[in-house]
Amino acid sequence: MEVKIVFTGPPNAGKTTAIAALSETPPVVTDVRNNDLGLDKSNTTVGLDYGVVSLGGGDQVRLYGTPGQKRFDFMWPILVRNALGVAILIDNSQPDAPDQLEYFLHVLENPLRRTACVIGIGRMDPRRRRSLDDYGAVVARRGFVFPVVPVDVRQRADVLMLVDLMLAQFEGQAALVRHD
Amino acid sequence: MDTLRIRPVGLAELDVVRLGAFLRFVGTTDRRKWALVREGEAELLVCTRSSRADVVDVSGRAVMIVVDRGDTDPVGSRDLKISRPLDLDSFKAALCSVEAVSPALAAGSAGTHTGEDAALMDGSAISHPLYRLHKWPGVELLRSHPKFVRILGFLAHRAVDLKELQRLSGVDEGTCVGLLARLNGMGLLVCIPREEDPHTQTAPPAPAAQHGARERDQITLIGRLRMRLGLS
Repeated sequence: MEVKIVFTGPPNAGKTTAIAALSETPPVVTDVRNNDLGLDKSNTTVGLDYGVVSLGGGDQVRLYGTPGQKRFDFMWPILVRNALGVAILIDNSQPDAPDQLEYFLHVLENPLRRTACVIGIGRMDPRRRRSLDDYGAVVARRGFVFPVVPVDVRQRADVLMLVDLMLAQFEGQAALVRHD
Repeated sequence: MDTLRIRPVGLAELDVVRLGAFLRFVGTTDRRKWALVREGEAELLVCTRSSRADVVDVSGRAVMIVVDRGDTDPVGSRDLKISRPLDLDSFKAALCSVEAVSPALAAGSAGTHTGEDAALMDGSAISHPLYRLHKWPGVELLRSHPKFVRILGFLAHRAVDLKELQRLSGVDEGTCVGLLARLNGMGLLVCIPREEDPHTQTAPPAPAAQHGARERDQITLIGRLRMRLGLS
Protein backbone atom coordinates (compact mmCIF):
# COMPACT_ATOMS: atom_id res chain seq x y z
CA MET A 1 0.00 0.00 0.00
CA GLU A 2 1.21 3.48 -0.79
CA VAL A 3 0.09 6.84 0.54
CA LYS A 4 1.52 10.28 0.04
CA ILE A 5 2.28 13.37 2.06
CA VAL A 6 2.66 16.65 0.20
CA PHE A 7 4.80 19.63 1.14
CA THR A 8 3.80 22.80 -0.62
CA GLY A 9 4.40 26.52 -0.27
CA PRO A 10 6.13 29.37 -2.07
CA PRO A 11 9.74 29.19 -3.24
CA ASN A 12 12.43 29.17 -0.57
CA ALA A 13 10.05 28.01 2.17
CA GLY A 14 11.98 24.79 2.83
CA LYS A 15 9.97 22.08 1.10
CA THR A 16 13.02 20.26 -0.24
CA THR A 17 14.75 20.46 3.15
CA ALA A 18 11.68 19.15 4.95
CA ILE A 19 11.47 16.14 2.65
CA ALA A 20 15.17 15.48 3.13
CA ALA A 21 14.61 15.48 6.90
CA LEU A 22 12.16 12.59 6.58
CA SER A 23 13.17 10.64 3.51
CA GLU A 24 15.30 7.55 4.02
CA THR A 25 16.95 8.15 0.68
CA PRO A 26 18.32 11.43 -0.66
CA PRO A 27 15.32 13.17 -2.18
CA VAL A 28 14.94 13.27 -5.92
CA VAL A 29 14.91 16.93 -6.83
CA THR A 30 14.18 18.79 -10.04
CA ASP A 31 16.04 21.97 -9.25
CA VAL A 32 17.38 24.26 -11.93
CA ARG A 33 19.42 27.42 -11.75
CA ASN A 34 17.24 30.22 -10.47
CA ASN A 35 16.65 33.02 -12.96
CA ASP A 36 14.10 34.82 -10.80
CA LEU A 37 15.84 37.93 -9.51
CA GLY A 38 13.23 38.22 -6.78
CA LEU A 39 14.38 34.95 -5.21
CA ASP A 40 17.47 34.89 -3.03
CA LYS A 41 18.59 31.35 -3.89
CA SER A 42 20.80 29.77 -6.53
CA ASN A 43 18.51 26.87 -7.45
CA THR A 44 14.78 26.36 -7.32
CA THR A 45 12.40 23.44 -7.88
CA VAL A 46 10.52 23.45 -11.16
CA GLY A 47 9.11 19.93 -11.24
CA LEU A 48 8.64 18.25 -7.92
CA ASP A 49 10.71 16.84 -5.09
CA TYR A 50 10.29 13.26 -4.08
CA GLY A 51 11.30 11.21 -1.07
CA VAL A 52 10.10 8.01 0.52
CA VAL A 53 9.65 6.35 3.91
CA SER A 54 9.46 2.55 3.67
CA LEU A 55 7.35 0.74 6.22
CA GLY A 56 8.19 -2.82 5.29
CA GLY A 57 6.15 -5.36 3.39
CA GLY A 58 6.22 -3.16 0.32
CA ASP A 59 4.25 -0.37 2.02
CA GLN A 60 5.55 3.13 1.47
CA VAL A 61 4.81 6.71 2.33
CA ARG A 62 5.74 8.90 -0.60
CA LEU A 63 6.78 12.47 0.12
CA TYR A 64 6.16 15.06 -2.57
CA GLY A 65 7.26 18.65 -2.73
CA THR A 66 5.47 20.90 -5.18
CA PRO A 67 7.13 23.63 -7.18
CA GLY A 68 6.43 26.92 -5.41
CA GLN A 69 6.10 29.42 -8.21
CA LYS A 70 2.62 30.62 -9.03
CA ARG A 71 3.03 29.66 -12.67
CA PHE A 72 3.00 26.03 -11.49
CA ASP A 73 -0.14 26.42 -9.38
CA PHE A 74 -2.05 24.10 -11.72
CA MET A 75 0.10 21.26 -10.35
CA TRP A 76 -0.71 21.83 -6.68
CA PRO A 77 -4.24 20.34 -6.61
CA ILE A 78 -3.08 17.47 -8.79
CA LEU A 79 -0.36 16.55 -6.34
CA VAL A 80 -2.57 17.08 -3.30
CA ARG A 81 -5.33 14.83 -4.62
CA ASN A 82 -5.72 11.72 -2.40
CA ALA A 83 -2.91 12.82 -0.13
CA LEU A 84 -2.84 11.66 3.47
CA GLY A 85 -1.99 15.21 4.44
CA VAL A 86 -0.54 18.50 3.29
CA ALA A 87 2.00 20.77 4.91
CA ILE A 88 1.99 24.36 3.67
CA LEU A 89 5.34 25.95 4.44
CA ILE A 90 5.61 29.72 4.51
CA ASP A 91 8.74 31.88 4.74
CA ASN A 92 7.91 34.60 7.27
CA SER A 93 10.81 36.75 6.07
CA GLN A 94 8.97 37.45 2.83
CA PRO A 95 7.13 40.76 2.92
CA ASP A 96 3.97 39.27 1.45
CA ALA A 97 4.08 35.99 3.39
CA PRO A 98 0.46 36.13 4.69
CA ASP A 99 -0.74 36.83 1.15
CA GLN A 100 1.26 33.85 -0.06
CA LEU A 101 -0.49 31.64 2.48
CA GLU A 102 -3.84 33.01 1.40
CA TYR A 103 -3.05 32.21 -2.21
CA PHE A 104 -2.17 28.59 -1.44
CA LEU A 105 -5.33 28.18 0.63
CA HIS A 106 -7.30 29.66 -2.25
CA VAL A 107 -5.83 27.42 -4.94
CA LEU A 108 -6.14 24.32 -2.74
CA GLU A 109 -9.50 25.30 -1.27
CA ASN A 110 -11.47 22.26 -2.45
CA PRO A 111 -9.00 19.47 -1.70
CA LEU A 112 -8.16 20.97 1.68
CA ARG A 113 -11.82 20.66 2.75
CA ARG A 114 -11.25 16.91 3.03
CA THR A 115 -7.51 16.66 3.64
CA ALA A 116 -5.47 17.00 6.81
CA CYS A 117 -3.34 20.13 6.66
CA VAL A 118 -0.81 21.91 8.81
CA ILE A 119 0.73 25.35 8.29
CA GLY A 120 4.43 25.66 9.11
CA ILE A 121 5.83 29.17 9.40
CA GLY A 122 9.58 29.41 8.92
CA ARG A 123 12.04 32.13 9.87
CA MET A 124 9.93 33.46 12.70
CA ASP A 125 11.90 36.30 14.18
CA PRO A 126 10.76 38.06 17.34
CA ARG A 127 12.02 41.33 15.91
CA ARG A 128 9.53 41.12 13.09
CA ARG A 129 6.14 42.61 13.73
CA ARG A 130 4.32 39.65 12.25
CA SER A 131 3.16 36.87 14.57
CA LEU A 132 1.61 33.42 14.17
CA ASP A 133 -1.74 35.02 14.89
CA ASP A 134 -1.48 36.93 11.63
CA TYR A 135 -1.29 33.62 9.79
CA GLY A 136 -3.97 32.11 11.98
CA ALA A 137 -6.24 34.96 10.94
CA VAL A 138 -5.67 34.11 7.27
CA VAL A 139 -6.55 30.47 7.93
CA ALA A 140 -9.69 31.44 9.84
CA ARG A 141 -10.71 33.91 7.13
CA ARG A 142 -10.69 31.07 4.61
CA GLY A 143 -12.90 29.04 6.93
CA PHE A 144 -10.32 26.43 7.90
CA VAL A 145 -9.30 25.09 11.31
CA PHE A 146 -5.66 24.11 10.76
CA PRO A 147 -2.76 24.22 13.18
CA VAL A 148 -0.28 27.03 12.55
CA VAL A 149 3.11 26.36 14.08
CA PRO A 150 6.59 27.83 13.81
CA VAL A 151 9.00 25.51 12.07
CA ASP A 152 12.69 25.28 11.32
CA VAL A 153 12.80 22.63 8.61
CA ARG A 154 16.49 22.05 9.30
CA GLN A 155 15.39 20.55 12.61
CA ARG A 156 13.99 17.07 12.08
CA ALA A 157 11.96 17.35 15.28
CA ASP A 158 10.13 20.34 13.84
CA VAL A 159 9.32 18.47 10.63
CA LEU A 160 8.16 15.48 12.66
CA MET A 161 5.80 17.72 14.55
CA LEU A 162 4.24 18.80 11.25
CA VAL A 163 3.73 15.15 10.35
CA ASP A 164 2.36 14.37 13.82
CA LEU A 165 -0.20 17.16 13.51
CA MET A 166 -1.12 15.93 10.06
CA LEU A 167 -1.60 12.31 11.15
CA ALA A 168 -3.66 13.31 14.17
CA GLN A 169 -6.05 15.19 11.90
CA PHE A 170 -6.23 12.32 9.45
CA GLU A 171 -7.16 9.96 12.26
CA GLY A 172 -9.79 12.43 13.43
CA GLN A 173 -11.25 12.65 9.95
CA ALA A 174 -11.21 8.88 9.57
CA ALA A 175 -13.13 8.60 12.84
CA LEU A 176 -15.68 11.04 11.45
CA VAL A 177 -16.11 8.97 8.28
CA ARG A 178 -16.63 5.84 10.38
CA HIS A 179 -19.06 7.70 12.58
CA ASP A 180 -21.16 8.82 9.64
CA MET B 1 -11.42 35.45 44.03
CA ASP B 2 -13.53 32.29 44.30
CA THR B 3 -12.50 29.63 46.76
CA LEU B 4 -13.19 26.01 45.92
CA ARG B 5 -12.96 23.33 48.56
CA ILE B 6 -11.45 19.90 48.33
CA ARG B 7 -12.27 17.31 50.98
CA PRO B 8 -10.62 13.90 51.39
CA VAL B 9 -12.92 11.01 52.29
CA GLY B 10 -11.33 7.85 53.62
CA LEU B 11 -7.89 8.71 52.27
CA ALA B 12 -4.70 7.69 54.06
CA GLU B 13 -3.11 10.57 55.95
CA LEU B 14 -0.06 10.41 53.71
CA ASP B 15 -2.25 11.00 50.66
CA VAL B 16 -3.95 13.93 52.38
CA VAL B 17 -0.58 15.47 53.17
CA ARG B 18 0.47 14.95 49.58
CA LEU B 19 -2.66 16.67 48.24
CA GLY B 20 -2.00 19.56 50.60
CA ALA B 21 1.52 19.85 49.25
CA PHE B 22 0.23 19.80 45.66
CA LEU B 23 -2.25 22.56 46.47
CA ARG B 24 0.57 24.81 47.61
CA PHE B 25 1.95 24.63 44.08
CA VAL B 26 -1.18 24.62 41.92
CA GLY B 27 -3.99 25.59 44.29
CA THR B 28 -4.09 29.30 43.50
CA THR B 29 -4.50 31.17 40.24
CA ASP B 30 -5.77 34.63 39.44
CA ARG B 31 -9.30 33.19 39.09
CA ARG B 32 -9.68 30.95 42.10
CA LYS B 33 -8.12 29.38 45.14
CA TRP B 34 -8.42 25.79 46.30
CA ALA B 35 -8.60 25.05 50.02
CA LEU B 36 -8.27 21.66 51.71
CA VAL B 37 -11.07 21.07 54.21
CA ARG B 38 -11.54 18.12 56.56
CA GLU B 39 -15.31 18.32 56.87
CA GLY B 40 -18.36 20.14 55.56
CA GLU B 41 -19.31 21.12 52.04
CA ALA B 42 -16.78 20.85 49.23
CA GLU B 43 -16.75 21.19 45.46
CA LEU B 44 -14.44 18.21 45.09
CA LEU B 45 -14.37 15.05 47.17
CA VAL B 46 -11.34 12.80 46.90
CA CYS B 47 -11.83 9.20 47.93
CA THR B 48 -10.75 5.63 47.25
CA ARG B 49 -12.77 2.91 45.60
CA SER B 50 -13.69 1.52 49.00
CA SER B 51 -14.72 4.86 50.46
CA ARG B 52 -16.66 5.85 47.30
CA ALA B 53 -19.76 4.20 48.76
CA ASP B 54 -19.69 6.75 51.59
CA VAL B 55 -19.97 9.63 49.14
CA VAL B 56 -23.39 10.86 48.15
CA ASP B 57 -23.69 12.23 44.63
CA VAL B 58 -24.78 15.84 44.65
CA SER B 59 -25.31 18.00 41.59
CA GLY B 60 -22.41 20.33 41.03
CA ARG B 61 -20.02 18.35 43.21
CA ALA B 62 -17.21 16.35 41.66
CA VAL B 63 -15.72 13.12 42.94
CA MET B 64 -12.18 12.03 42.30
CA ILE B 65 -11.21 8.43 43.01
CA VAL B 66 -7.62 7.57 43.85
CA VAL B 67 -6.80 4.16 42.38
CA ASP B 68 -3.73 1.99 42.63
CA ARG B 69 -1.15 1.83 39.89
CA GLY B 70 -2.28 -0.54 37.13
CA ASP B 71 -5.94 -0.34 38.16
CA THR B 72 -7.67 0.00 34.79
CA ASP B 73 -11.19 -0.73 35.97
CA PRO B 74 -13.59 2.06 35.02
CA VAL B 75 -15.05 4.44 37.55
CA GLY B 76 -18.51 5.96 37.54
CA SER B 77 -19.38 8.02 34.49
CA ARG B 78 -19.25 11.26 36.46
CA ASP B 79 -16.22 10.39 38.55
CA LEU B 80 -12.68 11.47 37.90
CA LYS B 81 -9.85 9.04 38.34
CA ILE B 82 -6.31 9.65 39.46
CA SER B 83 -3.69 6.91 39.76
CA ARG B 84 -0.96 6.29 42.27
CA PRO B 85 1.72 7.40 42.48
CA LEU B 86 -0.05 10.72 42.75
CA ASP B 87 1.70 13.29 40.62
CA LEU B 88 1.34 17.01 40.36
CA ASP B 89 0.42 17.18 36.67
CA SER B 90 -2.44 14.69 36.96
CA PHE B 91 -3.73 16.43 40.05
CA LYS B 92 -3.56 19.81 38.35
CA ALA B 93 -5.42 18.43 35.31
CA ALA B 94 -8.13 17.08 37.60
CA LEU B 95 -8.52 20.45 39.31
CA CYS B 96 -8.82 22.14 35.92
CA SER B 97 -11.60 19.76 34.93
CA VAL B 98 -13.53 20.49 38.10
CA GLU B 99 -13.07 24.22 37.59
CA ALA B 100 -14.41 23.87 34.07
CA VAL B 101 -17.68 22.37 35.24
CA SER B 102 -18.03 24.03 38.62
CA PRO B 103 -21.30 25.98 38.89
CA ALA B 104 -19.85 27.83 41.87
CA LEU B 105 -16.96 29.11 39.85
CA ALA B 106 -19.13 29.94 36.87
CA ALA B 107 -21.57 31.87 39.03
CA GLY B 108 -18.80 33.71 40.80
CA SER B 109 -17.25 34.97 37.62
CA ALA B 110 -20.12 34.91 35.16
CA GLY B 111 -19.41 38.42 33.98
CA THR B 112 -15.98 37.52 32.73
CA HIS B 113 -16.92 34.58 30.53
CA THR B 114 -18.14 34.26 26.99
CA GLY B 115 -21.36 32.47 26.23
CA GLU B 116 -19.39 29.41 25.26
CA ASP B 117 -17.56 29.45 28.58
CA ALA B 118 -20.82 29.70 30.42
CA ALA B 119 -22.20 26.76 28.47
CA LEU B 120 -19.16 24.70 29.35
CA MET B 121 -19.30 25.64 32.97
CA ASP B 122 -22.95 25.33 33.82
CA GLY B 123 -24.19 22.30 35.66
CA SER B 124 -25.31 20.52 32.50
CA ALA B 125 -21.74 20.37 31.32
CA ILE B 126 -21.26 17.41 33.58
CA SER B 127 -23.85 15.46 31.58
CA HIS B 128 -21.91 14.90 28.37
CA PRO B 129 -21.82 18.14 26.39
CA LEU B 130 -20.03 18.14 23.04
CA TYR B 131 -16.78 19.94 22.41
CA ARG B 132 -15.24 21.10 19.18
CA LEU B 133 -12.04 22.93 18.46
CA HIS B 134 -12.64 26.47 17.24
CA LYS B 135 -8.99 27.25 16.60
CA TRP B 136 -5.76 25.32 17.12
CA PRO B 137 -3.71 26.29 20.16
CA GLY B 138 -0.15 27.52 19.98
CA VAL B 139 2.90 25.32 19.89
CA GLU B 140 3.57 25.71 23.61
CA LEU B 141 0.40 23.85 24.49
CA LEU B 142 0.93 21.31 21.71
CA ARG B 143 4.34 20.46 23.13
CA SER B 144 3.29 20.49 26.77
CA HIS B 145 2.01 16.90 26.68
CA PRO B 146 2.84 14.10 24.22
CA LYS B 147 -0.83 13.15 23.79
CA PHE B 148 -2.30 16.61 23.23
CA VAL B 149 -1.75 16.62 19.46
CA ARG B 150 -3.58 13.32 19.16
CA ILE B 151 -6.53 14.51 21.24
CA LEU B 152 -6.76 17.75 19.25
CA GLY B 153 -6.92 15.79 16.00
CA PHE B 154 -10.24 14.34 17.12
CA LEU B 155 -11.58 17.67 18.33
CA ALA B 156 -10.76 19.48 15.10
CA HIS B 157 -13.27 17.84 12.79
CA ARG B 158 -16.45 17.38 14.75
CA ALA B 159 -17.94 17.79 18.17
CA VAL B 160 -17.37 14.92 20.55
CA ASP B 161 -18.22 14.32 24.18
CA LEU B 162 -15.65 13.42 26.77
CA LYS B 163 -16.27 9.69 26.73
CA GLU B 164 -16.03 9.50 22.96
CA LEU B 165 -12.90 11.61 22.98
CA GLN B 166 -11.34 9.17 25.42
CA ARG B 167 -12.38 6.19 23.31
CA LEU B 168 -11.19 7.61 20.01
CA SER B 169 -7.88 8.92 21.26
CA GLY B 170 -7.13 6.16 23.74
CA VAL B 171 -6.02 8.83 26.21
CA ASP B 172 -7.06 8.77 29.86
CA GLU B 173 -9.86 10.94 31.18
CA GLY B 174 -7.69 13.15 33.36
CA THR B 175 -5.53 14.19 30.42
CA CYS B 176 -8.56 14.79 28.18
CA VAL B 177 -10.42 16.94 30.68
CA GLY B 178 -7.25 18.80 31.55
CA LEU B 179 -6.78 19.73 27.90
CA LEU B 180 -10.46 20.65 27.48
CA ALA B 181 -10.24 22.95 30.47
CA ARG B 182 -7.11 24.63 29.14
CA LEU B 183 -8.62 25.07 25.68
CA ASN B 184 -11.74 26.52 27.22
CA GLY B 185 -9.68 28.92 29.28
CA MET B 186 -7.92 30.05 26.10
CA GLY B 187 -11.21 30.58 24.27
CA LEU B 188 -10.42 27.92 21.67
CA LEU B 189 -13.22 25.51 22.44
CA VAL B 190 -16.84 25.50 21.34
CA CYS B 191 -19.30 23.77 23.63
CA ILE B 192 -22.40 22.47 21.84
CA PRO B 193 -25.56 21.18 23.46
CA ARG B 194 -25.89 17.59 22.33
CA GLU B 195 -29.18 17.95 20.45
CA GLU B 196 -27.80 20.75 18.25
CA ASP B 197 -24.96 18.81 16.74
CA PRO B 198 -26.07 16.94 13.60
CA HIS B 199 -23.36 14.31 13.94
CA THR B 200 -24.82 13.14 17.22
CA GLN B 201 -28.05 12.17 15.51
CA THR B 202 -26.31 9.35 13.74
CA ALA B 203 -25.93 5.82 14.96
CA PRO B 204 -22.93 4.79 17.03
CA PRO B 205 -19.75 4.05 15.10
CA ALA B 206 -20.06 1.06 12.84
CA PRO B 207 -18.37 -2.16 13.87
CA ALA B 208 -14.88 -2.61 12.53
CA ALA B 209 -16.06 -5.21 10.05
CA GLN B 210 -18.10 -2.56 8.23
CA HIS B 211 -15.21 -0.15 7.75
CA GLY B 212 -13.76 0.16 4.29
CA ALA B 213 -10.77 -2.06 3.75
CA ARG B 214 -8.69 0.79 2.38
CA GLU B 215 -9.54 2.99 5.32
CA ARG B 216 -8.58 0.25 7.78
CA ASP B 217 -5.34 -0.27 5.92
CA GLN B 218 -4.59 3.44 6.05
CA ILE B 219 -5.17 3.61 9.79
CA THR B 220 -2.89 0.62 10.27
CA LEU B 221 -0.32 2.20 8.02
CA ILE B 222 -0.44 5.43 10.02
CA GLY B 223 0.37 3.48 13.15
CA ARG B 224 3.36 1.94 11.42
CA LEU B 225 4.46 5.33 10.09
CA ARG B 226 4.29 6.75 13.61
CA MET B 227 6.47 3.95 14.87
CA ARG B 228 8.88 4.32 11.95
CA LEU B 229 9.28 8.04 12.64
CA GLY B 230 9.40 7.67 16.41
CA LEU B 231 6.06 9.42 16.94
CA SER B 232 4.31 6.64 18.86
